[in-house]
Amino acid sequence: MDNAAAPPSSGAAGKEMATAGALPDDLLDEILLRLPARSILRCRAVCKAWRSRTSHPYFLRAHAARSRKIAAAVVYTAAFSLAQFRTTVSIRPLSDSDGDDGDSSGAADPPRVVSSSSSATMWFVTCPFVLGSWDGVVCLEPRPSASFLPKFTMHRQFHHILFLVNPLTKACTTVLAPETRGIVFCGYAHPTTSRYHLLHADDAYPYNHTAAAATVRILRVGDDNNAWRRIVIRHPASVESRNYIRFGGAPPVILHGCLH
Amino acid sequence: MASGSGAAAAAADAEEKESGSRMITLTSNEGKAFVVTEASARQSATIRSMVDDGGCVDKGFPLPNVDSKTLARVIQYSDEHGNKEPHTVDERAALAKFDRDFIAELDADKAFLYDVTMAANYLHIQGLLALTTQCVADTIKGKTPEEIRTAFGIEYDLTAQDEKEIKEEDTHA
Repeated sequence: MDNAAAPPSSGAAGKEMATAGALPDDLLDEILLRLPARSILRCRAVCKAWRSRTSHPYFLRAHAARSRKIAAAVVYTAAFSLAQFRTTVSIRPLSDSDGDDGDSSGAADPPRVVSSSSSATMWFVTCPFVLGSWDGVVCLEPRPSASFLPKFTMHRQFHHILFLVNPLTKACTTVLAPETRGIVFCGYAHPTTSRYHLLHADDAYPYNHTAAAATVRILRVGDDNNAWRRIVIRHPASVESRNYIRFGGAPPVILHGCLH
Repeated sequence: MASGSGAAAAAADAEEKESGSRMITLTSNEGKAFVVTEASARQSATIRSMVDDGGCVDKGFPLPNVDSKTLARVIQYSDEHGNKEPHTVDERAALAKFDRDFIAELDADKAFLYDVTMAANYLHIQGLLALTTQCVADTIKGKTPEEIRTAFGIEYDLTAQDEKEIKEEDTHA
């Protein structure tokens, strides 16, 4: 909020202030846990105490447990003109018994107005591709389609920008993919720090006589340098030397209400 | 029912049946006594466990953390929820309406709302606690951080570092 630095207005509603300030911590948690994720982001800008309360992993987990009934993300992209694609990522409550189960409504249907404010809209110059959705964060990669921008060089594809969006909070950020061939195959919110991490695997394995190595890179989202940490996993040659990362269909979105 | 423990069990049974009509005295921190039905008092998990532990039902329960005005309002809620068990759709609707009116009245007086919230928390009256905390949450919901600070009388104490982080979190939110 722009006026965050404004001095606190003092003296207003003296009695109310005194009482509200005295709300015990467990009661404050009880109240804050009832807020939607977006309001919690605002509460983080209220004061130090509220900021630390609402950032605590324990709080986030308790909040996630309450919002578990919201569990499906719908990604819908509409092409407006040659270089304008509007992508809407919206949340659909799984308990919503409006007749259709899941996304069987067909791609031709525009998304119906999904409950309240739980959708985020982004504009892309190329049609984005959904890499996956983990812990409430949807990962998109703008990717030129075959018919579109055919001269897009292969080389440039290798360090794409990745878009991460949390449709619950409408928080959106971008990270640079590593400059190697490969794919982001997993993301997760760290169980204790709640920092969001992305895992990237190279699809080319270097081989030698004794070992094969798979390279996995980890990125902690939000760090200034967007530095991918490289981890090499070696397999002895005697063991099956090729490991494939399996993609088990589209896993359900677990919305942790995760605020990264 | 086995004959050996039959007498004791029957006595307990009778007590159980009778308990619905037992009266319990709750005393506010100002010493004012409120006599309520046990069913009403049992809305409070705190009192319920004391009664079940064979506590001093006859002597009544002093509530040092609750003043008379707040206690009267809390009892208004627990009477409505404890003494009547809604069976029909209409009765349930009537209870829901009672809750709506009850909270709307409290919402107009925030300081009192917090008092009732704290009493509900202390007495562990789940329904009332859910009602009041949701009401407070709803007042926070549409507000900017500045408005929340004003409403709750919170002093601004965030450092420049915090502000920087907030700006970053906020850029796209």
